[in-house]
Amino acid sequence: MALSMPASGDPKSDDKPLLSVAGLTKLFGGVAAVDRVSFDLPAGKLIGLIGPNGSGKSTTINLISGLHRPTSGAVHYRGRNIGNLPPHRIARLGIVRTFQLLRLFGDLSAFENVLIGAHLRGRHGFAAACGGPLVTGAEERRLHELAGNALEFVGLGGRAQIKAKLLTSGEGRLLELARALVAEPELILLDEPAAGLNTAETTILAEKLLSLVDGGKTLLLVDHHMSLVMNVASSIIVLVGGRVLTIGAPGEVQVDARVIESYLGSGEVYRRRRVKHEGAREL
Amino acid sequence: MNVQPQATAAAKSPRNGSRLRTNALALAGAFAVIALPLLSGNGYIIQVASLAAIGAIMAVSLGILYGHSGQLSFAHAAFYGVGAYTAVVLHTQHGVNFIVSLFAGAALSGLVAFVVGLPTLRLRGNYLAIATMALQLGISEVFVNAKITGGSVGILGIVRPTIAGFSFESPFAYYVLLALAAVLVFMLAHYIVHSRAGRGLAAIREDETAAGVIGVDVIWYKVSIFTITAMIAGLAGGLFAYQLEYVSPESFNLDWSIAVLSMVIIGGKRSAIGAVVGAVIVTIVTQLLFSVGDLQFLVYGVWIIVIMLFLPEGLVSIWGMVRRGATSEVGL
Repeated sequence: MALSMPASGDPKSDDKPLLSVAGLTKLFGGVAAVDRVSFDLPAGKLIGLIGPNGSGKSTTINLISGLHRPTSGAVHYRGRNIGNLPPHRIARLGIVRTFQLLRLFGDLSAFENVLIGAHLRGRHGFAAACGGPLVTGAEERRLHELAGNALEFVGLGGRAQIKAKLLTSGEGRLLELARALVAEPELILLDEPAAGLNTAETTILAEKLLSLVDGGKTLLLVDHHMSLVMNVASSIIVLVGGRVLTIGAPGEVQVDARVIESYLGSGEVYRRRRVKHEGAREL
Repeated sequence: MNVQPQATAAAKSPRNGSRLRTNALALAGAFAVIALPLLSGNGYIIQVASLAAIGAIMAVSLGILYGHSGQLSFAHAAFYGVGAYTAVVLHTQHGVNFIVSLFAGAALSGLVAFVVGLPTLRLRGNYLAIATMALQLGISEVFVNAKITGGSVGILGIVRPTIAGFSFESPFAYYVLLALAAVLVFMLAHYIVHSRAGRGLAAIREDETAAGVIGVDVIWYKVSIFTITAMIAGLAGGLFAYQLEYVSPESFNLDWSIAVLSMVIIGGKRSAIGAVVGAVIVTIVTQLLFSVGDLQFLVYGVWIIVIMLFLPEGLVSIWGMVRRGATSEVGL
């Protein structure tokens, strides 16, 4: 488990990062949403990405997952520049993501959502489909099983047949996670997965994320509130105004005066929020 | 789409049993519906039933594209026409094998769809609807003015084929061929919708962005299903030409595209059975309203509005309501 490792980390994984972002820049109408951002994601780690609203966290994830094309800079995944690939090609390489604003297939059941997420685990296309169950049966059974397992993993096994749009927002977050996990990605980009979750749900989510890291996955976790990310990340990237302010261990980042100043406006606010969070936890 | 997780299938074997019974009943029902017009022995009824079977093929095809994949096309009549003229020119005028001619028509329709779809479907939103509207109007002009299509007169003297020594010249025999084709297309639609590719299409309908990051090649899938459904429409057109034994441009204009769309909406846009139900109803009502001429389009219009307002999932959704009502009465 990542947390039990020595603080210096595993030198081998530091040598060859799974994902390497270099000088990444995205201009929207002349305004830099992301401005020369560089960082590495070592394999098998959970890295946090934090920053105030509008600091470029979601844009960074959109750039890595192919929803935006970088204005300049590069994203290297396993040594390959993926900066200009369309989303489905990036997904095929083993990078999946969730969305800050839920993007579930609302009219479909929870189970069907995850089954669609298993797209990359299957191979059959239109030609095979025309052959019917005789051709596709074995693969379909396998995909159904994978989807069932992923739903169980996030604890939504009992909600399989409910339409996604009828789930609570907390369940929706978990369903997005299941839909991403069923593809068996190597790198998972999580855009504020704890938004709208209550404290108990956030704790469960943290456990799930740590168990994924145990299983060898690499995670980039965007979090607006620091509560979740401070507990689970082995390293944290702080974005402010589209730029990397600092990268460090949670303990360092938490006490960094610049982070407190820029990220939260003032130390006063930060202390108040912290008290509020801890108070909520006690309840 | 209504999929049960297979992992728990064993625990739900009673339900599987009832599903088997439902399937058997549906099969028997379908057989009865198809056989009924034959038993009547009435030429007019066979004519209407034949048109309904062709309409069903068209509606099932547009249902996959519009209802299941969320891509609206107004050019289904154009693809139907391309299939019809191609089959007639090849088989009747050049003596090419009937089945080969039929599939050549389907292939040409698919090619047209592919060429139009590739640039159009890169864009999101309703561009396909606009582009296919233009395509429909353009191809209608070609049908009226081209030499090979016989211009506004069309092509006469079509004789129904003999396949493998069996003559389909009688409208009764040809109706059996049409019904068979409709059943095959229905099964094909069912297989596609309930496949991995079909789920990719449903994902595109629900949210293109989410579909893309899951790994669905959105543009390729949209172009593929547009091409496949255009091919089915082309096949239906070829079959239609030999049913009517006469082709002329007014069979392939925008009115027919909209009539097929009304079948899909009236029956139920997310369901192949709905498309068939819609096709049968619209075909029969069109026959009944034949004497009122263009006024029938007013009837379609009112129908579509009423259905969209009160039964957005079409007439087949009534069945679901009845069943739910029944279970809640009997059950808890």
